Amino acid sequence: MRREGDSEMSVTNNPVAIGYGRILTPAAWMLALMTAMPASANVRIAAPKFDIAVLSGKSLAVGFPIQNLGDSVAVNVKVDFVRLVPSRFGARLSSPELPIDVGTVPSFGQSVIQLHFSVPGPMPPGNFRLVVLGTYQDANNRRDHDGRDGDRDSRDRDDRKLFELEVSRTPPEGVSLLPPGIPNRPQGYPALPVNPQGAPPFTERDVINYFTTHNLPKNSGSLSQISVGSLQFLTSKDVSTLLGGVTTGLTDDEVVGFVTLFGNFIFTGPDDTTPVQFARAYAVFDSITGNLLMVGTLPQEGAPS
Amino acid sequence: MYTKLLSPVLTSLLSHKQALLTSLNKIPAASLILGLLTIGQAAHAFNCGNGSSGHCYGRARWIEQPQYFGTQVDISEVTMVCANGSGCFFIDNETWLADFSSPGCVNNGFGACWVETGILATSDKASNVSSGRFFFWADARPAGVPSTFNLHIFGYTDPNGDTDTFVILQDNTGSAGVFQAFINNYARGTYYKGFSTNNLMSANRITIGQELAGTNGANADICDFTNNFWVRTPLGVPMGYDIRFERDIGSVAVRHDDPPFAEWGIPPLLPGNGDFETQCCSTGF
Repeated sequence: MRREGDSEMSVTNNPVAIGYGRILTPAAWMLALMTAMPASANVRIAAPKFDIAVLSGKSLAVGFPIQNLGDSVAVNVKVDFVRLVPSRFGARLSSPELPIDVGTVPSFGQSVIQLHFSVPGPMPPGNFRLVVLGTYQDANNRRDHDGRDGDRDSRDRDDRKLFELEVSRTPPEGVSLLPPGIPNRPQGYPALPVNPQGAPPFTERDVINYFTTHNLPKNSGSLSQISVGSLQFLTSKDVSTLLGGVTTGLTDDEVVGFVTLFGNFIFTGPDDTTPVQFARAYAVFDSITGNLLMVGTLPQEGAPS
Repeated sequence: MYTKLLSPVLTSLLSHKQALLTSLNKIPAASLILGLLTIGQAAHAFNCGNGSSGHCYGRARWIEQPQYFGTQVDISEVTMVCANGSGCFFIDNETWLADFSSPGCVNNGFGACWVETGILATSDKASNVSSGRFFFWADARPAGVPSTFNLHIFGYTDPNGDTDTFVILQDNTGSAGVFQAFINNYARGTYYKGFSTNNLMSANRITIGQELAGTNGANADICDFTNNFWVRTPLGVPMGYDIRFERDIGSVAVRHDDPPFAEWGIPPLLPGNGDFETQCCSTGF
């Protein structure tokens, strides 16, 4: 589980000052990095995470934010180089969208980059890192241009600073698909009074009384039409067998009160589904607490199941 | 409002919203107005199903992928009331993983199979006990099973201000047609899990949001849906963690029947980011 103060993703941010051409070769990037000078502290470029969407078998969309965590505006931000590590697609992914002019990224602002790539095959599962290289200018430290010497391009190049981002695609800690430990026993909610003297824990009369004032949760049918067909005390396993594998959440040998109901039961689902009326339904009560654990629909009597 | 770490941008935006609400509550007149609005919400009439007509929704959905093997969303705990005897059937905040295309699902009466999990308040008297709302999960299975629709009540929810994680995950470790639905909140020790079985659906839609059924008596404070993810591979093969590309979501993906009111409070510009909000029933955002 993600904790307060944890970082979502590992981020490496190595801004450096450098003279810069429009597009650099990998060798030139290496040279630039080796000869880099410390960057202005006023702009801090970061990319906390990235993601890959497989649009088809050979088409990927890579998305990541370029954030400016500094207190100065970053201008002329450009992304020139993107690489997945480890990559089974070669050292450099080529995208028709590179280089990208990100433009201005305000202080504590961000701009989202989305690139599309054609690749030889589907993405393998696992973790990846994304290496992003680009440049920016610090609006505060940018040199004034008086237009006297006509050398604005060279001054722009001198002002450019290089950033290198290495972004992990490790699943964020918030994506906890399989929490550890043993799930809690379902509690249901209070429904029937339980006989303190012992078996049976409740009677059919108790159930009839209950359904004179309580509808089934999520049932849009009328409460007044509900009648109780039967009450049986069955093991959780027997109920599951009766219902075609529906699980109660209890252990197999725990006993529940299984009630069949007649009436007009109407359930629906997410939008675009059709409300469906059922003439029969069931309810399952915990024999220990009398709590209502689950409800559901049954087919018409005599109908094939 | 949140106990989990959100992205700096999201956290910043949420803190501004919280600060605004806090400052409003410091003003007696504003508090009075907010109180009156709350009272008014409970008495607001709506037309959201009398059994034969459809329910109302405030939701966002994803249909971009050919198959979704699961979904995860964090849902905040907020006051949600469905007054007994008022004409309210139920109101909930939840997520659905659904199949609208497999033949067995198209022909099960509903026109779809699904697994859903969330927070539910009903007009049942029992729901007025304790918190008045409870965790649930449910499924609608393909045609041919003895019970098409099954609803399971896990138990009462966590208190207002908490945020719980809701996950639906296709489980390919054993028999076919199994989905896990679980809810967790480590800080509270909340961890419930259910298994949908004989559910041979191939999910092609994820929905998050609020469902409202009835004509009166419902009320729900602003609920936040955050950390939205979809699952790329089922349980049982190497796990994939492709996160939903929420940035692909256009305005057409949001439905709000007013009520429920719904919107992206914070646009989902980043995968897994964004804050989808629902609210019911008399006033919008």
